[in-house]
Amino acid sequence: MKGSLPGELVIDRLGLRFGGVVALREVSLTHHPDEVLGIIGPNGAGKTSLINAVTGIYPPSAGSVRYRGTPLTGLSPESIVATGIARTFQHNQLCGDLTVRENVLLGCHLRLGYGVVKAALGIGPARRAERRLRGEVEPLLELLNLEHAADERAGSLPYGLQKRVEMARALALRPTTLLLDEPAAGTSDADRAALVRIIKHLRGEGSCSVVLIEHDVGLVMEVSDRVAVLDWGECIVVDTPEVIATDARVLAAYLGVDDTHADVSESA
Amino acid sequence: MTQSTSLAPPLARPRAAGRRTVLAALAVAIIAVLPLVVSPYWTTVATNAALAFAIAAPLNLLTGNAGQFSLGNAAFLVVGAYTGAYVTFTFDLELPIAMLAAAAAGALVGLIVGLPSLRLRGAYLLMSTLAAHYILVFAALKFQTSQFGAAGAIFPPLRIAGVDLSGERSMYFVIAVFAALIGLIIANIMRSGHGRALEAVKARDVAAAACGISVARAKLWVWSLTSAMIAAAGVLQAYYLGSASVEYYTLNLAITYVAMILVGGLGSLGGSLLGACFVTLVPVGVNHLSDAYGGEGGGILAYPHELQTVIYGLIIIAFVLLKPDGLIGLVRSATDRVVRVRQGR
Repeated sequence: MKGSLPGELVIDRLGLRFGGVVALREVSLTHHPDEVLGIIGPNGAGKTSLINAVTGIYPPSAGSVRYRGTPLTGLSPESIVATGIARTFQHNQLCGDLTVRENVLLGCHLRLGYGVVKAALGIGPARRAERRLRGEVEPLLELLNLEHAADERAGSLPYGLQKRVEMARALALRPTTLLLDEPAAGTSDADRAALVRIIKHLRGEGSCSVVLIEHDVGLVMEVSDRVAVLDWGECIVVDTPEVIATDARVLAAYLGVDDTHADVSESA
Repeated sequence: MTQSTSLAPPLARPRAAGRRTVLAALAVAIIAVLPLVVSPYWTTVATNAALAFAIAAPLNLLTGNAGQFSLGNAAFLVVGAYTGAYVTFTFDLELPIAMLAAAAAGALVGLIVGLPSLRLRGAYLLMSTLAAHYILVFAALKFQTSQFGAAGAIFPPLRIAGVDLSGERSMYFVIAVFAALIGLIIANIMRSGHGRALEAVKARDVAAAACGISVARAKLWVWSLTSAMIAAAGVLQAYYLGSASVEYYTLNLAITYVAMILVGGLGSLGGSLLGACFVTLVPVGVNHLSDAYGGEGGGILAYPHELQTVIYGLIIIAFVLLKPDGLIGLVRSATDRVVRVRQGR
């Protein structure tokens, strides 16, 4: 059904500038349905800016983004979410005072099905909806191994666990496309392994295609169908992981940088 | 809070539903029995505390849960009192109708006062509500002069459906029932998805939007709803006081309610209740002290009003510095300790 479309997420000559600083320059990328698209690039290459421009956090200064044929440019972040694109954040954006379960329930907000008045009266529909949604988030808590922490305050959890809560919350939106912004950064080997398992699970299940922005090149190569490389706000190449690994431009632009080189040898 | 990385089962949470029922039953019992067992003086204190709670609780939903700082409470009270007075005197309507009219006016004014919150936060938002306070009180003064005369609006003894409710005990019941309803509505909202959305708006605008929550819509409904509640309470307050006059609705009054939620505990309904009781009891305590020791040579005790202000200030500073989660935080850590001891941990 989705295969009939030329591309699910079509980014066309996207530009983003902050005053004199160019964060993105004519970035064109097509994310096909059911594929895992990895995006790598050195620090400051524009990876997070790209996600922020796509999700409406920063309105792009040039170009356009279309999702399943719908133009996203100019829409508010919450309207973009409603089209089926969910995201996680590089720096955790959880509500620290809410429990893990409540944070994941936030992802169900578009499916609440009751208004403030019904909520205020605490009558049947609101209660039933809450019970239904609590049932819906249970499998997600299980998928991300969060059941045991479900009633903990999210703010009290270790970093890696918080990242998984973010992913559970994003999945609670039932997205058709999930944008992951550095999900492995600052997490343990066990968290990383869980991440690989989850991305492969989503890929296998086919319910949701994934765009993975990540510093850990080894991880990207392991799970991606195609990899795009950003450098200085430009997309310099998009290809399969095998080709990317040997591409001269990538080696020059990216692997030549000292700290990222360490990253690659570590994860190889 | 205490066990930052521990994954031990949470304390007491699973029985939250049962605990809520017990708390609700307890509240109803206390409200019903209180005036029968205490002296008229303490019934008056309880009436004042209930009224304070009915105003502090909506403010706490706005500030504690949704993160919207406001000094507009006194202004919303006067909007309510004067809308109530106007419809009561002009159309000869009963209290419930007057309160509904006041709530409608409060909702509209709250929506407008809340508009800057779409662009401003924190101290800047606070300043915009300060401006709103002065504008609304000025408008109320003009309205007072043209409608009620210089002395303000004098409210008749309260009657509903022909029944005289102006006695101290009847007033207590009317106000306590209203306060309980406000508490119930806020409790329902807080544990609903819309309550979660408010927490998300407070914590992270960006994350709220990423969950499909319209931050603007959430801010506006919470401004509107809480202002409606405070305005409705304003009618009741005016009936209880017997009159409404602009001089009463000062910035000091607005700060009193902010003090309640800071001392009681932000974002907690129990905190609103404790804060309302505490701030209501401070003058009572100070008056006792003043009566007992404030005679000749009593120093500052001879000036109970000034002493109150000083005590409020000191208490707020103490709580903000030492116990940011307020009185309810003290209660929580105490009950957690009891549960832990009982579980043998």
